[in-house]
Amino acid sequence: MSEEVSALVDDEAGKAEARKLLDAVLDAETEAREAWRLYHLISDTACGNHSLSKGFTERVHRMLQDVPVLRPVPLSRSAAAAAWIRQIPPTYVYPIAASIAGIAFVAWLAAGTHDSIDARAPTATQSVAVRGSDAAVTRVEPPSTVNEYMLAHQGFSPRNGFFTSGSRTVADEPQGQVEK
Amino acid sequence: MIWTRCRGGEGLRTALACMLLSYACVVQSEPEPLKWLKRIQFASQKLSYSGTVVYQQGDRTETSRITHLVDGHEEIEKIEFMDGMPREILRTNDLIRCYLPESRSIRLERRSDQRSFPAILPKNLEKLAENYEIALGESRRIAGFNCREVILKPKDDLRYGYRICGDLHTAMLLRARTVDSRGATVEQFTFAQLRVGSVERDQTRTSFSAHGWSIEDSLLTPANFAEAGWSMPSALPGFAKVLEVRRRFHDSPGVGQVVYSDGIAAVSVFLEPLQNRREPVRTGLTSIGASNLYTRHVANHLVTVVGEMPPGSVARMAETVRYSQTR
Repeated sequence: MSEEVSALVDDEAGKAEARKLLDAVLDAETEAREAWRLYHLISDTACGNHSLSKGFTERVHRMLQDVPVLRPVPLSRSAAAAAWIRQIPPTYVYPIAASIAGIAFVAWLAAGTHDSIDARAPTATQSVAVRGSDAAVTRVEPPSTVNEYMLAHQGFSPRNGFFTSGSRTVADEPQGQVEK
Repeated sequence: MIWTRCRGGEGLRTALACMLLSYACVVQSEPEPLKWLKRIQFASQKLSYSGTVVYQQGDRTETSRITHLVDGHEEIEKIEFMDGMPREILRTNDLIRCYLPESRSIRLERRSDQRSFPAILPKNLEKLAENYEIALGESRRIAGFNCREVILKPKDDLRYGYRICGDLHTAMLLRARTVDSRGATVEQFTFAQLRVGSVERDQTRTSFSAHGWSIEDSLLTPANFAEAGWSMPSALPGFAKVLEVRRRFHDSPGVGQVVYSDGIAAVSVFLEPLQNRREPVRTGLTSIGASNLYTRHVANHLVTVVGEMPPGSVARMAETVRYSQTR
């Protein structure tokens, strides 16, 4: 059923089939409805729809916490994993798969962006697309010596010392506003 | 023909007339915007004036009072900051003294090519045409003066554009706007009030009693970082190296600074040894007005690129910095 729901989300289902699937979803069939919701959640996250990302992590965590805790069995890693998956009730398999895919996708997005700049990027960062370069640039708080850099540089720029020691800067504010 | 008449020996008057005529021909052949730009550049550096300057960036505004005196070969400038912590900058020719009452200190800087609003234009204006399209803009009225705008439109997306407005009578620069690729204002300097001439020397003295204040001298010394193994193989197109020095920061006695300029925009590359750092270093981009700073680690150094140019340009510049061990 999940594959059919996926096709519906991706707009790959035929008209009649789509109607049938929608009816199935709306008829409160738990598995199909859950798959529908999760596929849309992942799709929205991938498309950068931030309004839907609120609480996403919490929901995924909650869902994972609902998964029954299983006792370890003396098997090889792959066998253990397969056995673990087999023991999961069918109702949870697709939500978990979708959740893991969602988490992996979001993590991949974040890791990919940060890696393009610096692997040691600070925690308080914000990635932005910038002009003059195809790369994303990680915004960080200014270094403590920012005023010294500015003062040392300003002698060679058409600007004067308007940003000397009297100004403390905060980079993460919109458009690099300066805090007074 | 002019040359023939001049050589004809009709005396000094004829020679002078020839010179003036030749100069007039040269000036006439120049494009109008460049001629106007030259007048603005000359007036902003050679006139004595005092006025109030308003700086705007986003929804932030700062006001300062500027007094500029030209007396023979001596040029004195005083900038008083009216907002935030009181502070003053005094410049006498190449020597800059920054008075910081909060830390009871005076910071000294020596700069050979000091340019600040309103004297923001370089001496070699022709070079600007290599990187900017120069055109006349609209006529405007600023601070009670009728002025004419010159537009400097960048030929690529590596630098910002500028809109510069000069008084039609004195050619004094009244407003300078930095604009991005969409024409939106990144930052702006405007004279809210201006008085040309009538500046007394007393007006250019500091208002602080700096007795007992500490003096911090940046102590610039010439340097050659290529010999030390540093290279910036593909600096930004249109930018040429104008300075290479070692300077003193608070905790770092040997911070390198290499400055590149395209005539109006400048970018500094700082090379700071990491062992002098007492705190963890964050790498990435910081924006302050039209200026962007990009920091990264290279060979146990902190490389910081500062420039009044788009973020991607400073990042691109920083990424070109390389170090290879020398013998």
